[in-house]
Amino acid sequence: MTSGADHDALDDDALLRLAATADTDGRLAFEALVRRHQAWLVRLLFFLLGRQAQAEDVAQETFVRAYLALKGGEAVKGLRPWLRTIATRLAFNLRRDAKTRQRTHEAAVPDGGEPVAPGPEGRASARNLLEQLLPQLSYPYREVLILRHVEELSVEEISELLGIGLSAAKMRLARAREQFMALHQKEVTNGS
Amino acid sequence: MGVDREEQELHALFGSLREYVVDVSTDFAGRVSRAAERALESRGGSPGPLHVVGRVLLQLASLATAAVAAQVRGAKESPEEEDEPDEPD
Repeated sequence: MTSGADHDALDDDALLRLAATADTDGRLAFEALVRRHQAWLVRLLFFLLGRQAQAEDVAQETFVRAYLALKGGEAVKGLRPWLRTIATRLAFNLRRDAKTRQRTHEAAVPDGGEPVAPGPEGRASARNLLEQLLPQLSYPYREVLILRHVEELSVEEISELLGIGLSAAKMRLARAREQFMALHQKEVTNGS
Repeated sequence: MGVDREEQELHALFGSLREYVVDVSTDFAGRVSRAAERALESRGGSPGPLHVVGRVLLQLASLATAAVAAQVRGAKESPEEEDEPDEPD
């Protein structure tokens, strides 16, 4: 059996092959994959959902689904794009279900969802600016901006990931950019 | 403002997010691993060593059945061979 440290030395493809096996090595290999990608995935989901606890829950569900798919014999080409696809779909579904519940209970929460509380210091920093502005965007706009400017995906990759046409992806990105810049301008004007 | 310049400005603004480091809960990987095992078991496929042993036993049983079936076929065929007429002297 390989030790945890040995697993950390293996690349993703080797770990994926091991993780698909039904023994202790497989479980340890899977844990090594989770350790390697957890910070990136939780961060992506945190930007999409706005809450760390929710981000961790969805990240966990993402990894669990990936594990089940691996055990089911699914071939994986490129772990991060695969995890990103699962995670963004889960996050989208979560937002959609939350909005449905919101409508049902007639709660008066704005479309942007739960605001992320800015840190106690450095409100003017770019990070805090984004943490204040991002929650004000509708979910599809926030999602497309994160995918483009944090995940640094091309428009083609975004189109594929979201399952929308290339022109629709371009349009969504342009509108999201426009809305974000308008909010940003407002913030800068109010702050000055 | 041109789209390219706006895109660059946005990209620079989001740069701080690209460097953002999230502190994930302690033992997140262990928690995920345990949840994954539970999910696999509830799906009906136990991933543990017993599952592997079970699969091997099933394969052995299937091989044994095939071997017995071959023997039975052989036993049925052999009287016909005995019935074959002897070569004339």
